[in-house]
Amino acid sequence: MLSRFALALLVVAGCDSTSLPPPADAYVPLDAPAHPGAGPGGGLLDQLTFAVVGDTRPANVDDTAGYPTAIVQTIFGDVAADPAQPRFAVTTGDYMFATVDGGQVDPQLDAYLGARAAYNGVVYPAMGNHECNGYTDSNCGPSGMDHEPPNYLEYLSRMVMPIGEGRPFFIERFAAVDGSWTAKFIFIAANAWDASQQAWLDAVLTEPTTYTFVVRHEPPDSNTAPGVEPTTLTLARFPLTMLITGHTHTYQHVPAYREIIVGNGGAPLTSAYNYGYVIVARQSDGTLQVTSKDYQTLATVDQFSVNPDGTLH
Amino acid sequence: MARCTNLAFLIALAGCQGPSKLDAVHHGRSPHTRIELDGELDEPAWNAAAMRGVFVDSGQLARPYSEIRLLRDETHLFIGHRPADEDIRSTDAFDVNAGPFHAHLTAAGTATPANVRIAVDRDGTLDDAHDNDEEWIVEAALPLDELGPAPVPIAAERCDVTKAGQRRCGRWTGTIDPAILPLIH
Repeated sequence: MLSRFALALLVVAGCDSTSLPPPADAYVPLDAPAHPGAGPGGGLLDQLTFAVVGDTRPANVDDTAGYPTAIVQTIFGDVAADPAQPRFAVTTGDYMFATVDGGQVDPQLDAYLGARAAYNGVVYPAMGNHECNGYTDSNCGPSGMDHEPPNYLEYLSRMVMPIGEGRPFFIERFAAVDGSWTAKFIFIAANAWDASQQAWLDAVLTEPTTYTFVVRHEPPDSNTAPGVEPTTLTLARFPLTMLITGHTHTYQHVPAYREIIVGNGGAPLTSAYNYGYVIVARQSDGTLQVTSKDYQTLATVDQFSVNPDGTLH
Repeated sequence: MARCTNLAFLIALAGCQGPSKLDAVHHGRSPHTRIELDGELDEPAWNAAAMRGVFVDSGQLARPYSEIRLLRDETHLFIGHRPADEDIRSTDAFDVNAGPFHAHLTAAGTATPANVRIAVDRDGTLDDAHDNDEEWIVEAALPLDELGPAPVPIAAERCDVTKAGQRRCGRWTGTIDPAILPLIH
């Protein structure tokens, strides 16, 4: 992990309401990196606009020849060319469909990362069950019952460490260059779940920010993943602007969970929605506009707005 | 549901089913070993040797996604079918015309006519719309000697009703010559 610089920022609007609020006129210490633009640990942004892409795996196990390279490349090309000019992207997991001993982990990551390079911005990845051993109920990591297969280790090495993180769960902190908002992005690894991640989650969720985004591969209903139920319960105790998930290979807006499912990034589609991506863009009134787009026509297939506290606008 | 991490346990059970993704199995077979009808499509031949086709609808990739894979041994045409499906219903079906032979294969694991052998693996719940399912996988064997003379025209169709109530169909057509279709020993 790269070192971060403490940054004092005045939180002027929409601070999380249930965490301990700072007194009026107080400066809230935010551990956001002082570098301009998205980078390791987050950064200072002129505009909170980002893209969401996932899931991206082939249909069949170890079928590297069937990797949806062209689709993934087109999606990230669309993201790069999107008029909203996303400052960074987050991905929702499942970048491979490979057995732990079949030798296809790196070839599939080669395909994915090569296609992802169509977008040259920073991409923050969430870990999916396929970055463990493929089972939804799998649990990887030093203390996980499924240990550290190549799927897990190569994912960490090739996708997480390049953004300056060393664990599959991490937080990225962003702030407006003019101090008008702060945002934290919490990446949960529900398939690398242990007590240390729970303690970390409890701690980072207390950080007061204007916006709180949680990125977790599995939606709440996919509760066989070890970290889903514990984190769902934890999230209920803290402010949440948006839960961003994948796992289900479609796009879906689930207001009850303040959730968007973005799983239509190349994996076999389960519904009538086409492949595509989502753009989340902060508006001048502080609301967030969420736009789901078709990767071929670039047509808007869904659009809605939410307030910083996650309620529909 | 029981978790299937132990290889011997997996082979013994031959495809436990349930809400977890049963998608990380490696049996270490050589590319052309015999197909075990368990609904897993995990024999290497399904990737390395099978003829494959992706379903289309009005010239576009079908949504939901479906694909077909074809192999044979001395007596049977093996069909692998992988339909992605957000809501698996017991009435969901996949129809194949192979020459004069028609097979009707369902997500519930039934097949007609009776001489079609079938195994289905479901990644999701059957007849429960409350959760999001992922796919059901068909591994089936049709008798080669009932498919007529080569070349054998194949027409496969899968229709599905989405949670939003849209009925959508995808199709794939092709022609096979069993004499040159990849042979599984």
